[in-house]
Amino acid sequence: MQPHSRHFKANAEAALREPNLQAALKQLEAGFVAGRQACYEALPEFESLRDRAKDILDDTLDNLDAYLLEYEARVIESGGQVHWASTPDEARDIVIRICRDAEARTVIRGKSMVGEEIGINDALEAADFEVTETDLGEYILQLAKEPPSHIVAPAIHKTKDEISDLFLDHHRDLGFTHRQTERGALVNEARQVLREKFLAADVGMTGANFLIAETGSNVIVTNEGNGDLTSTLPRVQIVTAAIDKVVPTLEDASLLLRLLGRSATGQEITAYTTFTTGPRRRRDADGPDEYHVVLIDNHRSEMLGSELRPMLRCIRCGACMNHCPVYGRIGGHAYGWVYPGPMGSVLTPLMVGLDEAGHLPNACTLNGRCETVCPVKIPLPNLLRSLRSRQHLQRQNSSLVRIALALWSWIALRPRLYQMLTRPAMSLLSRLGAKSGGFRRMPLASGWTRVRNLPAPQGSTFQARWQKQQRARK
Amino acid sequence: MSAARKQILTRVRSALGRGELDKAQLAELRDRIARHPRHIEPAFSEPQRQRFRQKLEAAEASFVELDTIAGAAAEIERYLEACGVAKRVVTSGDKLLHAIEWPASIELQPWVAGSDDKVGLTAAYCGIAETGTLLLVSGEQNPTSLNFLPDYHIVVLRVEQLLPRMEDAWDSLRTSFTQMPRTVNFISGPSKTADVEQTVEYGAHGPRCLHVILVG
Repeated sequence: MQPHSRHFKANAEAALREPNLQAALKQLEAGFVAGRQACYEALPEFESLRDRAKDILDDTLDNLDAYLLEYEARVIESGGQVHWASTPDEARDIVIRICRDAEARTVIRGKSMVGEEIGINDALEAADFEVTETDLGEYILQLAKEPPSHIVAPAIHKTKDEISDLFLDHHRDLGFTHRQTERGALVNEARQVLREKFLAADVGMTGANFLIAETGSNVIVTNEGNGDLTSTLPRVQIVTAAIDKVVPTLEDASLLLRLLGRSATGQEITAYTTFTTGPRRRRDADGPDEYHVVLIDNHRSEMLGSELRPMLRCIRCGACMNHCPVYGRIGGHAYGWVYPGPMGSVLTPLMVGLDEAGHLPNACTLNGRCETVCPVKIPLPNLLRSLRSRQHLQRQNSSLVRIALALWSWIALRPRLYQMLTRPAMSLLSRLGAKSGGFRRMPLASGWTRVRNLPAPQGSTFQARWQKQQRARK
Repeated sequence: MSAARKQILTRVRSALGRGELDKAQLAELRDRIARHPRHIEPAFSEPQRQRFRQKLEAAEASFVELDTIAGAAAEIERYLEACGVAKRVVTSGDKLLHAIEWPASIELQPWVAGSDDKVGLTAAYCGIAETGTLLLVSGEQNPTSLNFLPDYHIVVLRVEQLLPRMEDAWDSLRTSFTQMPRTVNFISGPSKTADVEQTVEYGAHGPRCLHVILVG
């Protein structure tokens, strides 16, 4: 999809005025957040699992080239094919070529964020293939022609009513002429429509939660079972996966799976976890005849060589956005591309450019909740800070910010001057605000005071109080 | 080999500030894979059998324990009656299921790819107590689609097949097979979705109901 992250501020303002979205976001706390917390409390080993996961993934990244080659060798041994793509363009071309070579007409997809990243649906449709998303949330969005707004629960912003209308519009011609209004009936209608698609499809595309170097397997985690039907029924399977998905062994994947479900949806394990290795074997009762993996870089090798390397540990659980006060107020679409929330604010600038997505690293209070809950301990606030520094060094932030920062640093480097300016200012504000405790209007701070009062300082400056306290101790 | 492959590997190595791993380093890495060390395995105190059942039931699977496989047919008949489904069962060819003596009242059907049969019967390769999970593997007698297409999925396994954790299942698979089966399914409940207003509904794409029969 075309990024529109540069409109972040306007997008966010609009999102705040969207009542359905606000209602959906309010549910996050009672759902995903409470679910993760319950899992966390029920598992005394949670913290040690996080530490171990971080170590394993760091070690894998240190040897990424070698693990990718081991993985590739095992896929080929099991009868599959591995394709490499530096860019989304290359990845799309490879997928389309595989579909054409297979003389395919219809493609079904299991939910895949890297598939969104490379815009595979639009490309396949432009090449005249019929593409159907099968994850219920993704299917709803395909009908609505919208991008996902959450990496785990893509249609979190859609209400039941909107889904009822969408289904009636799109399924009427298929014989579903009754507008369903119950959740169960909607799920059932989608099941029936999509079952036909599953049975008829020529190509099944999935992503991968992990790739296993030991066996050449790809791992898919779902609750619906759509990923399984996608990997099993069509005669060709294509797995699109980023190069940072590889882990050494089955045991390593087991450790990460203990963290993934718990951190994502508050589940110890999802209904289905599936390891697929190559095409069907000679005697197998079913399974695809062809198995292809497309390994995609798309700027990940750049991240590997920079201070942003820890981002490559991400296992896409979505805990960072579930716990983010900014995401929790504006939802995913405001971020303007595929990945929202804290992880998206790191990834988007790297994948679509800091000039397009410059607002995202700044849309963060640095409260650190994302880092606290990240199952693989990615220091997200630090990575966002580092992107802010890049922005400053590349002169991509606004000139007002640059002038203000320059002025502040000039003053802050001169302690006497700094104190001379701040002490009288603080004592004046403290006296002026003593009665009401705050200000409703303040020059240079209208962005703040427009929506809330500015609290009045409690008296003297921190430094003045510190010196006073030190003197008192002596 | 493709240009992209070479480019990616070159970029990765330059990002890591080194060339290809030397022989000794590569041997060490392959040894790490061959040893496949286990990591932290969460402790649990209850007996395996009890935990296995509790976890599956918590995930909305139904669960029955039988002394012998001989009783399986009667149990399946009871289950289908309770569900109000026609007594027509598609069974996999797994040898564990050969021991079931079928009454005339249940119609057995061979598996046909892509059919719309309502009831599937399969055997698990093993069960995992930690998470209440059934492990099923694909093969000549075990079509993977039978685990997903029918509305009702009945899975039989013996108590001896219960293992504590996923890692134990890997060891078992490594002993039983020279190569990973094409598909290894970990199933921990019926199909579900929360994509409509964050509320769980069962029977999204896979089975609406999962019935587990533990024998022994």
